[in-house]
Amino acid sequence: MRPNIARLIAGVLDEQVEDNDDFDDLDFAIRVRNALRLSMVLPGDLAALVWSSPLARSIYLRLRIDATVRAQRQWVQRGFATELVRLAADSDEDSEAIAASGVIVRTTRSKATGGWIITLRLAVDAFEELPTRLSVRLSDKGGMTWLEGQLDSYGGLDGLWQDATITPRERLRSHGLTIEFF
Amino acid sequence: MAGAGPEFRTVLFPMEGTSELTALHVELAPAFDQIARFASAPHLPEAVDILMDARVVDPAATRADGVQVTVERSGFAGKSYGLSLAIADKQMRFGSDWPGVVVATGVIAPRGRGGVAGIDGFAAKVNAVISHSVSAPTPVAFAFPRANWDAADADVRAALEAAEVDGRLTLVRCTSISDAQRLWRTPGPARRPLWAVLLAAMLLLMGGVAAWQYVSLTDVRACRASVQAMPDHDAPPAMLAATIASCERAARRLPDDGHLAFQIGQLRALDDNERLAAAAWKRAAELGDADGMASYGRWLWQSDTAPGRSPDPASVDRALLWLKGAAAAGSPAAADDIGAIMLDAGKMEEARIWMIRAREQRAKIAKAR
Repeated sequence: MRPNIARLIAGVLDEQVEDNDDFDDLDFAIRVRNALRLSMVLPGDLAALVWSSPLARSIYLRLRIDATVRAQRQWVQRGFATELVRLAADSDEDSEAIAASGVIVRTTRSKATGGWIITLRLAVDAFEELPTRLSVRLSDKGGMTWLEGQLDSYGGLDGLWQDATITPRERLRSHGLTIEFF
Repeated sequence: MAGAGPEFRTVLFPMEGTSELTALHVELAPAFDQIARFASAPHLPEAVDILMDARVVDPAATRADGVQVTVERSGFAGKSYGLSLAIADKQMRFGSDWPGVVVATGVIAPRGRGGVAGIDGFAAKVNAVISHSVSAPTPVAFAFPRANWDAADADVRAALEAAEVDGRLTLVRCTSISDAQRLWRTPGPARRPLWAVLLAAMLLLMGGVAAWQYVSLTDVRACRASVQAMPDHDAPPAMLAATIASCERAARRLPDDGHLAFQIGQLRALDDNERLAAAAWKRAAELGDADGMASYGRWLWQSDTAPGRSPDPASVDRALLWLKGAAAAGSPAAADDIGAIMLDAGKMEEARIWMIRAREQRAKIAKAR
């Protein structure tokens, strides 16, 4: 969503007044919690309540954070990696794989544009226990965000390398990668 | 897949709200071959699903070819770039004889068996395409949904027809993606993996001694001769049917010949009959044929990880059993596949071991020649 549109929507939502006398916050919380175990995208009826009710929105945001923390904790408990190391053996001039348990990151130079493409893919067994449409952030230990966004329905996310002054490979020489869910 | 063709293919598409066209590029990405998420496409989160819908008209063995997609400009909404993506994807994988630029707009209908659905803002997009065609140095093919043509105002149709009469545009009205097939080469009915072709050819040559023991059997001779005469691609259906019939007769005479069963599997695959191919490969594998084990294992693995199917760990385990049997019998392709399965599972160390083993087995085969 573009920043100005997000600001516009936020302004409208801030002005909302709770006028739903029939709203059952406990029932809503249980349904949202159950839904977030499967997917970070709520079903239509719950999403409609989030958009229309400040109380529902407040509950949803709290439960969403809980769900993310739970997913991150489960990821670690199941032995999947939060840090990735460079795999020199699987590298060539235009492509490089950086792998760890449950996740592969591939950097590939596009022959069409000359730019670098960053592709993150979770292994099937790593992805299947996570709620779908979970957001993921791939960053390096120097504070640069490589990728950020929702995982697609195949447990992957793609992005373009943004820093024209350095290639991903050069950056990897001095900084390891970390993966986190949010 | 295209051989030594261009490194990428570009199709232009008009964006709503601008009079300019945007380039969409597709290039091959072997690292993503045969995995469920076979395409990498920054800023196009629906690309895998669109390609999956557009590739239903392609030979089954090519539907999970790995590709990488980039767009010149991002920040657009909607899926009207779907037809341009589908065409660029097929041009890249199968090659193209179209001499000029391709512009396309249209939605690939979700689960629509390759159907092309209409778009919004067609008239404005037509103006952008016609403007582009005036200055384009080469012929422009414009692919768009037939639904939009049918619903278009008379002046929009007239403008397009005038551009076509002038020779600036070739109009490609699409109800299905197949309607645009003149923009890419016709793929073979089913692509035989290179390793299978090489191995089959090598075994046919090296297995002469074994073959001669039943040289007196007419059907077997006919089967072998037909197999050898088969072209790599685009075998005429009648020739394929005759070869299959001949080899099936031979198999009835020699029911315990594993390699014959394997060849029948290959022929069934060429005939796009996955079920019968798998049955023949299974028979060959059970008879201990290395190629049969490799093919059946690969089929179990790929049918499990095929787009749209839920992965079943038990199926991958079964695949691994056969693949390991084939690798033990010296099949480098099976070792490669095991490596890929390990890579997919994030088991990098094991993947590396199997890939090294595949290389070693290939070197051994080459030396034996």
